[in-house]
Amino acid sequence: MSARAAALVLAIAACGPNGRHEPARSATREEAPMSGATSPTGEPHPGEIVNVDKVEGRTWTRKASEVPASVAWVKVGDQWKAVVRIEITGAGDRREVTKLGADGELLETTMATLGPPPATPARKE
Amino acid sequence: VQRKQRREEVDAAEGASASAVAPGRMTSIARRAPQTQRAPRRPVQVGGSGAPLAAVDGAPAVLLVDDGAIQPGQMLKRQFVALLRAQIIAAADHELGPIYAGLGCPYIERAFARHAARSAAEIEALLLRFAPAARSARTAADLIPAVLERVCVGVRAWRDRGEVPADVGGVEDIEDVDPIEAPEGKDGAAPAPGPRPGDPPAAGVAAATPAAKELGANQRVLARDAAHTTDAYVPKFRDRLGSKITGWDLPFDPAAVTLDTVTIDGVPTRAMLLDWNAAWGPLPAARDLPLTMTPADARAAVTACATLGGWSKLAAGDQSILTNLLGGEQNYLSEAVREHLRPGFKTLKGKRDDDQAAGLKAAMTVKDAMPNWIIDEMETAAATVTLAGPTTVENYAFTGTKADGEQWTAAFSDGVSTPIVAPKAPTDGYHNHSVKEMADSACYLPKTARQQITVIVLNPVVNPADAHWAAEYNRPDFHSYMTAGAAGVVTVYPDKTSNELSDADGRSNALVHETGHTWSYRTWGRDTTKGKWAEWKQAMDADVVSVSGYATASIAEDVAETVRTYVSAKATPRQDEYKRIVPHRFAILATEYDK
Repeated sequence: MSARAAALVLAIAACGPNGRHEPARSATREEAPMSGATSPTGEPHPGEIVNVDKVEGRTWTRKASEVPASVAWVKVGDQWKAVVRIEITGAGDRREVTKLGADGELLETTMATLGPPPATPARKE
Repeated sequence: VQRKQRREEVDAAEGASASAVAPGRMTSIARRAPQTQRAPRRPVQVGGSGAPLAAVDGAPAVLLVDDGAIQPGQMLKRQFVALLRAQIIAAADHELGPIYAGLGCPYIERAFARHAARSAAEIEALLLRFAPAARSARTAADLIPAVLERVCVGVRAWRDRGEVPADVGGVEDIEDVDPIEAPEGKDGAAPAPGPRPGDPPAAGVAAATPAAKELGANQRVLARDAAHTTDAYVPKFRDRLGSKITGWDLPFDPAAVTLDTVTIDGVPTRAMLLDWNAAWGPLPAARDLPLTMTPADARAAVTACATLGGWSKLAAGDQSILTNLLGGEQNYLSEAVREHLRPGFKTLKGKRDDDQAAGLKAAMTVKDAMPNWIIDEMETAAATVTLAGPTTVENYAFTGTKADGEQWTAAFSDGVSTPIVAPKAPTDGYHNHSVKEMADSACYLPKTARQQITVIVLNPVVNPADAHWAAEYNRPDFHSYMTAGAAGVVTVYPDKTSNELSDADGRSNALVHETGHTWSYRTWGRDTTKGKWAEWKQAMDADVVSVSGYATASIAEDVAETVRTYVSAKATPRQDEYKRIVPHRFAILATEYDK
């Protein structure tokens, strides 16, 4: 196949079923990833987020600047609200991630699954 | 005191002596297992948790232990369950591809969730029933290959024939689906499965039997299908019922179970009958008992506990709570609490009254006695729905990306209207629920709760926060399923097409739970110590019992889980049971939520 023909095949493959061009989309990449130090509209974060895992019984703190905006901020209506506390509850593989704002305001809850731990390579026999 | 349960000796399965290996290799090990050496028969002894265990033929009599010191060959339950789960997932991956990342297979997840509360002894007994070849195991790790082999048979049947994964479902509902082992025929083959209890009797079955008697006033029917009404099954029913009754240290005469022909609904019917013994408690109202025999178990549990000296030490309110909790015949919570209490019941009976009272009281609240997360059947929709649309929404601000979307309007029969937005173009390699599926799930919500949803968004990309949590927990496949926001936005994230999406019940349970958070915070306010939240706390204190382990994390989770239980139990027999178990909270939901 010539390079031109290959390019044509690729171009056709990039089109949707109706021949309409549909740009490829990454399912894992956050659009315009940014630090949580400021909201997408520029408001400064109070500074830290306290994480409380009630399943494992541990608490740790992260600076907002160390986490992505998707963790540090939640849009409630038309307002971006800073997350200052995250509580993780659940059982088994299931986790509930609850983001709380100032004064304990509930911002959002997310049901998630941990997934398996990273695969360890099989031991050589 | 150990509870000993005599089991029929079975022909020792070919040895399954593989020790723990890398999860990804477990399937091939399981397949190879039958070609390895024959292992000696191991008498099965279901012991109490933490009790010293005697060695049998060099192997421990009990392989799984709840806690405390373990002998060589034994394993702590939590370690074993984690190992088994990882290897089942790996085995299913091997058969089907990476199907268990993300939300995973609901059957397997449900099975682990449902049985998580069981004791080590119960888990071991369950596995031996599910995979009889495991009876030759001499170490805890030896149990795994036989279980995996059984799971893989079911998974392969599903893959190859597209059938419901009956064998996987067998893990989930082993006691419900077929608690009575099929007796082996001459060639070792099990008889063909027959109809379930309650099915009409097979044609000709009664005609070949002697003249029918009337069903006695104190008799109940254990089975009346052709498959279970043979002489070979009589000892099976006796063993099964006897283990439940004697587990509560109540008398059981095997002759109480007989096979006879009686007139049922005017038709002579061959039936497995039970002569009810008043020592077990009041006669169950229902004529036909399910194969799980939960009505008998529930009555025996209540009767046995009420005869303890420590029972009288409990306040009347606690007695009532325990009676309702142990006496539930339809709900998983009651079953889990009985399974928690039964293995140690005889030990408890030997203690002082005060200790008995403390033990009984602990069963009401100990997290280990509760199911963690249950996907209940959603049976009663509050409304019907019609969809209108779509209209194109350009450059819609989905979570994590902007893209063209399509907006539908879900018009519910009770007048509520909810927009549902889906991406115009799907993301390659990912799939999500459909607009109709989400609208259907929303039908189960009562009007007041559904009104709190401002929009349901089927997101085109995964939650951008997943990468953060994957790193925090060192779980590369951390996956958000559904988010409910304070403003009423419900976001459902896509998953890899190689991962199975949650089924209808899983989806509906998640939606009801998550929107339970939204409803409670939007209706009762953010301060969980005041107003209706305080009333709820009082109700929690009065009820004492929580509906699941998941509910015990916080008052907010308790509300969401009780909401989920309320909705799933609506207009089912479970509803009346839960009204008795958590009456104060169900009463609040009846007036505050269900309108």
